[in-house]
Amino acid sequence: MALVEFKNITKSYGAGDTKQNALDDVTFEINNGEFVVVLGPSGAGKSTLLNLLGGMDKPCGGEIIIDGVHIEGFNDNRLTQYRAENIGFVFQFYNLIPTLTAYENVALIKEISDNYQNANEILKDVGLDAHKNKFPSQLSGGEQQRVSIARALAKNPKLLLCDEPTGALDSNTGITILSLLQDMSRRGKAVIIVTHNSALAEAADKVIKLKNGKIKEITVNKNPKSVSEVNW
Amino acid sequence: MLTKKMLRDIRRQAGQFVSVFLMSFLAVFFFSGIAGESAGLEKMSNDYYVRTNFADAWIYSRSGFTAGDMEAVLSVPEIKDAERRLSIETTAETAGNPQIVLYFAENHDISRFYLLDGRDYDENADGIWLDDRFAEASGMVLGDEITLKYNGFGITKNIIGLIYSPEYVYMSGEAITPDFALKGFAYISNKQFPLPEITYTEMLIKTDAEDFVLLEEKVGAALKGEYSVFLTRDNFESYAQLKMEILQHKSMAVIFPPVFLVITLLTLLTTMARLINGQRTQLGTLKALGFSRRKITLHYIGYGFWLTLFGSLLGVILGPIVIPPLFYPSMSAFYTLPVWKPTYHWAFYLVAAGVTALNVLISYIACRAVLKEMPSEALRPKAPKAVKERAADKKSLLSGLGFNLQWNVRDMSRNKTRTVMAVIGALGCTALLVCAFGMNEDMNDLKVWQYEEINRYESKIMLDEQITDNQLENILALSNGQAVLENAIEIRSGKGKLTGGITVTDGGLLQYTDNNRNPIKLADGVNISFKIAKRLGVGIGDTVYWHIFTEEGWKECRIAGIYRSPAGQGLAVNRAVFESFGYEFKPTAVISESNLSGATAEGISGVLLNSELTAGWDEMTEAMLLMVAILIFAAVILAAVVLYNLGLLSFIERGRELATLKVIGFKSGELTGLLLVQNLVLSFIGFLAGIPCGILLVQSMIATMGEAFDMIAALHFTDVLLSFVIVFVIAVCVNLMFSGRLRRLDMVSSLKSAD
Repeated sequence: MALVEFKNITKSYGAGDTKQNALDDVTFEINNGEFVVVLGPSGAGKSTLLNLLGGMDKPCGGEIIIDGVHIEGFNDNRLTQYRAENIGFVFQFYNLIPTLTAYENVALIKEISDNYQNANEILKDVGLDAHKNKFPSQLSGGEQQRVSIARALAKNPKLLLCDEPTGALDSNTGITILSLLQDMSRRGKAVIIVTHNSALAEAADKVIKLKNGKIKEITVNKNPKSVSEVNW
Repeated sequence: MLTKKMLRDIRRQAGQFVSVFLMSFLAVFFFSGIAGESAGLEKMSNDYYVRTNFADAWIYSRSGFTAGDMEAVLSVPEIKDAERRLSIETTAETAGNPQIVLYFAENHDISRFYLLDGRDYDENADGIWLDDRFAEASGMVLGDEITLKYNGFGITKNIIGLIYSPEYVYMSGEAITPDFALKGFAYISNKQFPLPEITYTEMLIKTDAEDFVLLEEKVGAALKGEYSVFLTRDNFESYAQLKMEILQHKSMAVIFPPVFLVITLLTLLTTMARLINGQRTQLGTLKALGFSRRKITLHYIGYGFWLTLFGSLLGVILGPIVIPPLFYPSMSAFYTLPVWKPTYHWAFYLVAAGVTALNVLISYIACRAVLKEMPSEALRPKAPKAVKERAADKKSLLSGLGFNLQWNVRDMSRNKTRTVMAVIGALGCTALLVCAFGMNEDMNDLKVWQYEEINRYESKIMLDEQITDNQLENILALSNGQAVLENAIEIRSGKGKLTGGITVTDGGLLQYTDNNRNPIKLADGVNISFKIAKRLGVGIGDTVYWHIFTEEGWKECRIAGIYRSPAGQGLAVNRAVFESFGYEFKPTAVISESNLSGATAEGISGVLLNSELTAGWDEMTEAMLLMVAILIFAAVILAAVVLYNLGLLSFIERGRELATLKVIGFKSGELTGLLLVQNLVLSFIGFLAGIPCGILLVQSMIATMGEAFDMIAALHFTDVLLSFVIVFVIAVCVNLMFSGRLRRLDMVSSLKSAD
């Protein structure tokens, strides 16, 4: 059984004349340890897809099954619990709490998750051991994104969802971040990256292409390249 | 971690959070301070009354009560206990001929005295227990000898105890401020009464009756109507005066907190709204991470909760410690209580809890909107508020106003909370100032009215009770004065029974005034004071019944005229009218236009100068003036905190806008002007609205002055002007504080990134 099953999902915003379909009859599956890249131009529905996966929004129709559990009908409380237990988010603009240090941003997870992993070790994993007592404003963009990844990993989630994780970074820094994420998937975590940079497709186990809210194509890479080998 | 975040967030907006803390502290501080003082007075006096078995009612009879009368009264079921007592007004043989009321109690069981020093009451002891405050004022100590004279009789005893009495918590005298050297009381055992037969003229009663009108009927029936006055505690001057004073302080305690509370809430609301708007993404992130709504709500409520909790707790603790001692010196000049101590009351904690709860509610309201959104929405920047095209925008009128006004009109209409808050701040400040100055002014008015306009005499010679006609003639000749009789009366109409005073005199040294303070001549007949007439619901031509305290039997009369008097309410008649009721005209004082300070002659018990009366009034109003000072202090803090907070808020919110204007080429001075115009306009609106609120406050304060006082709440132009000046000086000062910031405003960094 797949870790994630998306069945005939639709999502629309607004009502009446201004109604817009963000997702229209979207179906796909994701397995454990898969490094998935969701591609598509702006407005294709990438972020909506990620929000639905992450339990940050509710679909209008269809089924979302995570690890055998239907979440499409969850109320706000259960969705919150679902996020707390299963989902690690990595945002384009890192979204760190500016008044907490790198360490504290990661340790924050202790308050919501039973699976909390030691923040010190995770920060060592992402290579930030030396900067863990700095505030976000004292860190570079790439370092902030590592904190964000560390925070996402701290709850040992089933799914790591990344929304344009390199969008605000220079390309070299971006590559290291993506390597880090790919590394996570090699260790058995499902990592889903939303991006408009199609070059990343070469490194993905699975590529989901979206256009106007519909699935344009799903390709499975038998032999994905390592991120560092990709020709950017 | 969230706690750390909270502490750091608070530090970032320290100014505003400090004012939230300060305001909630001040609200509870002033409330619990003033309420602690009045509750303390109430508790100390009640304890005192219980401890001394203070009487519930007093019955007086000129002819005295027999043992049979006492049996009869005791047979009334509601009467729990009764005791007979004799009091005589004696004169002590010391300088100034002080008047000492001497008591012989049958059992000394009801209204017992409170022993400070010496030996306790013992009916076999041969000595005198003397009023401690009199002893202190006239330099007497335990063991001294004192001689009291009555009707030519002399009693000389050693002082064996120094005492207070629950019946003399407040001692009325000629002057408003009690002069403890001139008046006092003393006890001698009834076994030591110099005559074989003792006539008890007073009966003290303990009762559990609630309805004293009914009780008086029953007791009256038991005594077959043979008594002159039946007094309840509420008609007993010492008790009533203190009760009124406590009430007055209590009502003060109620004025302060709402003002500060409103400010606390508004400050917190704007602060939290701003904080949460600024942390929209953080809040969304927390949601995305899986923090439950409850957790996030608790986190954001925590900001206001802890600050107001600590603020109000500190207020509860410090208020009753700091404020009451400010009142005690002036209070103890009037009142005599064995213990002066503030009390904590559960209501203080309730108020503190209420303040905290309201603040929590406000924080909740501020963060509720964002919390309701789905995390995906919360993570996106907030969609700008749809701005409707306003009627005001279209009018060509507005475009003709110039940039400054246009900008301000739009800014105000788009930031309604801030606008309303500024108006309320100025309103509250104005109301407090108008109230404070108004109280001060009215107190002064009352003084001028009573001691300059009504009292047209310079000296008031107090006469001995046993003065002979010859002595009186002599004094009248010596002073070229006018004889006056003043006595306590009871007066009733269909609506109820009151106590008051009657003034009987012929001549022009008392200039009565009408409703509007214009001099009038008394009507030939019975004149009633405005306030008594109002309380009894009677007017000219109506019938009232009255009698002198010490005389039995009600007199019926029609009201011929109404006069208004600020201090002292009752009836005023001329000698002929007084005598037509069958009373004998026995003057109690002679008033004169000359300064007779220190005059001595047979029959004079003392001389009071009008200037001394005025000084007494000033002393009495001291406690009130302290309140006035606190009010002004509170008003200034209020205005300063609100306007500063507001300035800070608008400065932060409009940082980008102001920086843009600066980049375009506006000078700092012009920007200061821009903000100043808005501040001044809003302060002015608040000021205008604050005046009627201030007048209402003054009226409610005057209402608590007591039934003896009748004041006309007047608003003086100078008060309004002064309030105006203060409000605007604060507004301009606060603005100046920000002009420096405007100059330093860094255009580049303020405009850098929008996120």
